[in-house]
Amino acid sequence: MNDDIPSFKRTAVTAVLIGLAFIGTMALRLPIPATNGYFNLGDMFVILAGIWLGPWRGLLVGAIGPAAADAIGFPQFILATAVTKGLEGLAAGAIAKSVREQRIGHSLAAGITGGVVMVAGYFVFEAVIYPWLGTSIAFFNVTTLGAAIVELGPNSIQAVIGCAGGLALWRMLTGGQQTRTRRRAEN
Amino acid sequence: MRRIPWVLRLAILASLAAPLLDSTLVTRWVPDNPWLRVEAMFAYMVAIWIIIGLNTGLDKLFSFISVAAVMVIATVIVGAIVQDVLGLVIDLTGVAATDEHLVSIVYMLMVSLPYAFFFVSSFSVAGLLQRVHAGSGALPRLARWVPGRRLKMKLIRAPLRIAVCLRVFQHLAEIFPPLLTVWREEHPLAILPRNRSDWQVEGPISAVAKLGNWVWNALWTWAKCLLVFAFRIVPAVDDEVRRCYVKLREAPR
Amino acid sequence: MSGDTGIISLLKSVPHNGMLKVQLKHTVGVDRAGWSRRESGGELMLTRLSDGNPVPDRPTIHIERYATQAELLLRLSELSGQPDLPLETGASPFLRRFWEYLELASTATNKILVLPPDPVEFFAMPTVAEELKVALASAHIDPDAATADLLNQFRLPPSLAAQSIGSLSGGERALVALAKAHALSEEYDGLVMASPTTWVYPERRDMITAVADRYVQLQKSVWILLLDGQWPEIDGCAAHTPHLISTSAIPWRLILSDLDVTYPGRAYPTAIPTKVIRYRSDTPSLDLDSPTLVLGDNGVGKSTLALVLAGVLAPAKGSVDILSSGASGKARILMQNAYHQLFGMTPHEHINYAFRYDTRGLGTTHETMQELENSLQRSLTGFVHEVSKRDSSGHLASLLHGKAALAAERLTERPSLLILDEPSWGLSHRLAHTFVAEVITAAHARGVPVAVISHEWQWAKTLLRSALHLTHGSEDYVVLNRCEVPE
Repeated sequence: MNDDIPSFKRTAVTAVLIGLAFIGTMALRLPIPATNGYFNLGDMFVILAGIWLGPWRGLLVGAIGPAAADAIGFPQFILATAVTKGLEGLAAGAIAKSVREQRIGHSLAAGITGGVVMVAGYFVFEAVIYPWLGTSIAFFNVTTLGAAIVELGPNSIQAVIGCAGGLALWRMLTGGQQTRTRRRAEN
Repeated sequence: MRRIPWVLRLAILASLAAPLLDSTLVTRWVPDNPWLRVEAMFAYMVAIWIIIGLNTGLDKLFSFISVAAVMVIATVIVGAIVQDVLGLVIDLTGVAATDEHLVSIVYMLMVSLPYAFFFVSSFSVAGLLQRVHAGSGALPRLARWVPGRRLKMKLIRAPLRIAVCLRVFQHLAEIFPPLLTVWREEHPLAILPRNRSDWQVEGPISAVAKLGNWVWNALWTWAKCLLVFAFRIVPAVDDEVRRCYVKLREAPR
Repeated sequence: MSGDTGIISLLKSVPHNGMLKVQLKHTVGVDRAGWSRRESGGELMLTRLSDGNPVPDRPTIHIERYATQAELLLRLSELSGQPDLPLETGASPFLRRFWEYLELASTATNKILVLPPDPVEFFAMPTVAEELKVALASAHIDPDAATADLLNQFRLPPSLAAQSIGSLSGGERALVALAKAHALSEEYDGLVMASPTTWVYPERRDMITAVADRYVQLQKSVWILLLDGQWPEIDGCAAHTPHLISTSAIPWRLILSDLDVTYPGRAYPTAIPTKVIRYRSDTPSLDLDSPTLVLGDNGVGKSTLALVLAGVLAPAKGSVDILSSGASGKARILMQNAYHQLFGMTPHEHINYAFRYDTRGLGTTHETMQELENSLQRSLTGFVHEVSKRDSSGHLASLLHGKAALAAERLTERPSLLILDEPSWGLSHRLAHTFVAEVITAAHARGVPVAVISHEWQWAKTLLRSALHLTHGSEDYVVLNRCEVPE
C-alpha cells in the first residue's frame, strides 16, 4: 500500500456526525409558541463537526443533517436550515482551525461565532427572506418580522446549548487540544 | 422487493415519504372535515408501519416504534412543561396553536423515525461494493471514458464515499434501538437508578432535583456510549473501502 | 535493572546483532519477533537478529507471548501502525485515542491484516454473507458458491451466511473472521492474529493454524500474539500452578420451562432469518454446585442464556429462574468484553458512578474492591506490573482492575447468581485463574453462587465443582444437562 492511498475515515466520521445531527434535531422538538419554528438539540453536532473536523465538514454536517430532519414535518424550513446551519458549521470551523494549536479558548470562540451566525441567519431568513419569498410563493409564507423577533430568544438558548454541548463533546473526544497537521488531500 | 433494481426501489421509497413533506397528499382524498383529515393521516401512519413490518418483521418494527415513542415522550413532556412555564411569564396567545403543533410533531416522529430507519436499511452496501468491483456501476462505467487519471479516480471514489456514508447510517440505525437494551441492564426499573439506598426525598423539589440529576447523568452517559458505538464502525468500514479502492486503482482500465 | 518499561526501551536501543544482558527479578512477557532469547540462572540473554522490519525475507509464523493485555495491544499497534483501540478502561480514553487514529494517515509500508482481540471490530457489513462476498469480490469468482465453500471449510453451517453479525456468538464471529482472513490472503502482505484462541472452541483451533499456513504458503508472514497460557500446546508457556481456594460449594438450582429466545430477522433488502434458540432440559430443574462451569460448542447459546438470566434479554417464550439461598433476584453478568460495561475512566470512577445515590453501597463496594485488590496482590506476588499499575489520578487501572471493579459492584447487590462470561478474555492464564479464584472466594463469602462460562476450562478445573453442559439436541433444541467438570 503506497502513501497516496486516501483514507475514508473522515468521510465515515462526517457521516456519523450527519446522522447524529439528524437524530439530535429530531429527538427533542419543542415548538416555540407564536411561531412555526421549534427548538432542538442538533446544533451541538454541527458545532462539534466544525471545531473538530474543520470548516468544510462543518458545512456538510450543518447543511445535510438538520435539513434532512426538517424535511420531515417542517419542509418550509429546509432552505433556511440548510443555509444557516451550514454557515454555522463553516464559521465555527473557520475560527477553530485558524490557529495551529487549538485550545479550549479557540474552540469556545468558534462555538460562540457559530451560534451567533445561526441566530442571525434564522433572523434574516424569517424576517426578510421568507416574507419576501412568501409574496410570490405561498409555501414560504410562514413567518413575519414579529415572529422572527420572538424567536430570537429560543434560538439564542438553542445556540448556547449547542455551543456548550459541542464544546463538551469536543473536549471529550480530543482532551481539549488539537494540533493542526498538514494533511494531503483525502478522498 | 429484494429483486427490484435500486433505482426503482429508491423511487418507491421516495413516493412513500412524499406525504411527510406535504400532508395534503393524504388529506386531499377526504372531504374537508377535521376528523376525517386526522383519520386519513392516522391511516397513512398505519400503512407505513404495515409496509415496514411486512419487510423487516414485527420485532424490528416494534424496536423502531419504541425508539420513536421514547423521543415522543421526551418531546411532549418537556414541551408541555416549557409551554406551561413560559405561559406563567408571558401571555401566550398561540397556546392552542402550540398544542396542535405538538400533536403534529408526535405524529411526525411516530411515522418518520421508523421510516428513516427502514429507508437507510433498504440498500445493500455489499451489493454496491460488488458492483464497483465489477465495474458495473454508473460512475465506474463513466470513469472508463474519462481522460486523466485524477478525474477517473475521483469518479471511482464517489460510489465508495456513498457506500461509506450509507453503511454508517445503517450502523447508526442498527445500534440506536439496542442501546435501550443496554440501558435496561443498568436501570432495570427503567426510570430509577439501580442502586439508591439513600434516594429519600424530602419534598417535590427534592424529588425533581434528584430525578433531574439522575436523568442528566444517565443521558450524558448514554450519549457517550452512543458515540463510542457509533464510531466503532469507522476503522472496519475504512479498511473495507480502502481495500476496494486499492484493487480498483491497480486494475487495468 | 528491573521493570518492564526499562527493558522495552532498552530493546529498542540495541543495535543489530548486539547483545543485551538483563538480570530479572520477575518474569517479563516480552518475546518479540527478531530476537533470540535464552534464559539461565536468572539472567536473560537477548540477541537482536533483525532490524525490526515486520516483514522479514522468509515468511514465518511468529508466536509471541505476553504477560499482559497492555503489552499485547502495544505490539499490535506497532505491527498495524494504528493506536490500539480500545484502551484499558472507560469510554473516554477510547474516544481520545480515536482522534489520534483519525489523524494517522494510512501510510503503512506493508499491508498487514489485523484480527483484533475482539472480532466484532473486524466487520463492516451487517451479515455474514455480505462480509464474505465483499472479501471475495476482487477475486472475480462466483461469490455465492465461494461463500458456501468457505463456510464449509471452517465447519460453519450454511445457514450462518444469512445471519446478522450482531446475532452471532463470540466464537462464531471469531470463526467468520478467520474465514474472511482466509479470503483476503492474496491481498495482504501478512497477518496478525491477537489472542485468537480466546473465542474459539479447542476442537476448532486447527482452523487458526490452517489460516496461518495458508498465508505462509503464499510467502507471507504471520504473527500470533498470545497472552501467557492462551495456547499452551504451542506457546511454550510453563504450566501455571493452580491457585486453590478453600471455600465450600454453594448449591443452587436452575428452573427451566420451555425457554425460547429470539434474535429478530428481516426480509428486506437482504433476508436475515429469525434466529430462535430453544432451551430444553430433561428435568424441569437442574441442581448445581457453585462454582459452576457452563460449557458448550461455539454458538450453542451460552452467552444468550446468561443474558436472559441477567434480565438483559427477554425470552420470547417460557421462563428460566434461579433458586439460591442467601441471595435473590436476577443474576448479574460480567460480559466477555469488560470494556463495554465500565462507566468511567478508571475502576474507581466506575464504582463512584454506579453508587452515586447509594452511599452505603458505595462504601461496601469500595471495601469489596479493596479486598479483591489485596487478595490479587497476595496471589500475584512478583507480578508487579499488572497489580500495581496506576493511572494519572493514582487509582489502580488495568483491565484486571476493571474486571475486579465490575465484580465488586455486582457482589454488593448479592444477586442470585454471578455469571462470569469468558473471564479469561484479555488476561493471561495466570491472571485469569487468579482473578476467577479470588472472585469466587469473595462471592462465596457473601453467599452468592458463581457460574463461569468458558471453553478454556482446563485452567479452571481445580476451581469448579459442577458443570452445566449445553449441547445441540434433536429438533434444533439446545439441551441443558448437569455433568461433572471434564478432565
